[in-house]
Amino acid sequence: MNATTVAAACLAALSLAAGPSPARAHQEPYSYLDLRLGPRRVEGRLVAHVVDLAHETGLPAPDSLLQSRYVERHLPSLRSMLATRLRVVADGDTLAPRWGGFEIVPERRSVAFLWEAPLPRPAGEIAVLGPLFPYDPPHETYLNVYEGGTLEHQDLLDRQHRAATYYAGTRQGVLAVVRAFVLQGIHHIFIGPDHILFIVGLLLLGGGIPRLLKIVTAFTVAHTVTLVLATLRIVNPPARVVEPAIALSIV
Amino acid sequence: MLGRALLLLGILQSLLPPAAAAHEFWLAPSSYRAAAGDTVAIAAFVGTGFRGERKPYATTRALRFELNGPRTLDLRPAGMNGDLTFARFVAADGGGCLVAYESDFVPIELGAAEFDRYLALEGLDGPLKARAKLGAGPGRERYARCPKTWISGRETSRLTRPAGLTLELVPANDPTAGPSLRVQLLYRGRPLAGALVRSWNRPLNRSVVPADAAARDSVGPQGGVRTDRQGFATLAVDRPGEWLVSAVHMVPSADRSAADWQSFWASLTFARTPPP
Repeated sequence: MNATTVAAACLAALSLAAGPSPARAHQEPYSYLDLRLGPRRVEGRLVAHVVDLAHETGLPAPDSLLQSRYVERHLPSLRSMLATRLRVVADGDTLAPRWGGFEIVPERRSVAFLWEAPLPRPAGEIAVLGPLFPYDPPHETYLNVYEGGTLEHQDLLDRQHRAATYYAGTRQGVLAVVRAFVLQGIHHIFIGPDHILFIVGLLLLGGGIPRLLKIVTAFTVAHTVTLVLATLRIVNPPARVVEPAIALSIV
Repeated sequence: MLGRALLLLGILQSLLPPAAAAHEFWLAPSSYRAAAGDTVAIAAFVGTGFRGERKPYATTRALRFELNGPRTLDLRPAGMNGDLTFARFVAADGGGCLVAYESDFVPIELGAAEFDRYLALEGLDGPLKARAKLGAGPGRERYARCPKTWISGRETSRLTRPAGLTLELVPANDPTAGPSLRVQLLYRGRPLAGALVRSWNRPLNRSVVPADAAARDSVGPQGGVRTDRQGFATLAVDRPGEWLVSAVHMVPSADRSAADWQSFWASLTFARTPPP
């Protein structure tokens, strides 16, 4: 057997070995972000796949990141890259993570990075933007938010669902919910010409203020009930029936 | 000599599952048989050629996740977002149980040529013809997954009763008993004709325990059969080991703003094991 034959056989064997293997990288790429919300700080655990870490930091051998020494050597570049990906916003302020330790998670071919961020006051609204590695379109980030040691919110960030919001179970959280939904309600009224026409119609019809208040309140209550029924998918009639019915109800 | 080696390489490559093949999705129990009181863990895998990676459980994506044993149990409340184990449960009896899962849609977009290649590989002739007629742009698709797994037992009615998934492979007989499986493909509860049903087979690790799907080689399908007018297909499942049966159905998307096409991926896993 000459050198050419050996080389050709090796080439064939290598191509065969590499060709069909679906373990090329990770087929459905994902990362994890756990947040533990405390009164004065947020603790985080970010778990990223070695393929994504290597890709985003330009490291040549992803599986080398399953060795602690290798991770330690590249920790500054890994952390600075992750800092640009991690976007957690508490009451409108983007948190600045203070990085802690890391651990290898071999069963997920991942590395977990620990971090924490101080809060100037108990947070009411926590928003998380993602996914963490948008360079890869199918990438998904599993988000779990814990408060008081209890898992309170589970979400999945992907290229269609890029933001998750959690309202804390505190007084600040209640205020944040009220603020957010009152603003959304006002926005909802002004973007719908039917709402404005309804009010204008009532004003044109005349009548006293008490009568106007009664009608507006009844409309609001009815509208709220229908929204709740539709949101909870208890009732979901087609729009072609609902829209004319709304107009008829005004008449 | 080099030319001969390259020819050999080409032949060998052609015998293997194509790298561009779409990903199957299947459920694998920690054991394909359970006695009363046994704890069973369910994992999900995504891959090609019956080789794949574990897929974490996504709470917000699970539309249905049920255990059909002596009674039907909703497994979703026990699911943990991001967990590599979809569920753990204790078998109520040794009669067997069917675990059924259905995911919400996930969007994906492929280039025109890649999308057409994938349609051809999956035997999706209808969408392929429609794209050829209308002019093929990028493939904007959203897909949902509808896998089931059968942990075998004597109460085979738990296996042969439809679980109500959007696309569902419903066995007409117990595949662990005879040499063939007659399976009906239902789409929204109605028989689906002309769909390609394929099967894969892998040896078990030991007794009734599946081998690690991430650490094994991919294999080509054992067979592919089109469903008849009543949605039935008969597959030879005479070998021992772990079996995956799969079918896909694609229709124009109900929400054109989200995608042009929507597909449903049904699968059924079971194992032919020696008697206990």
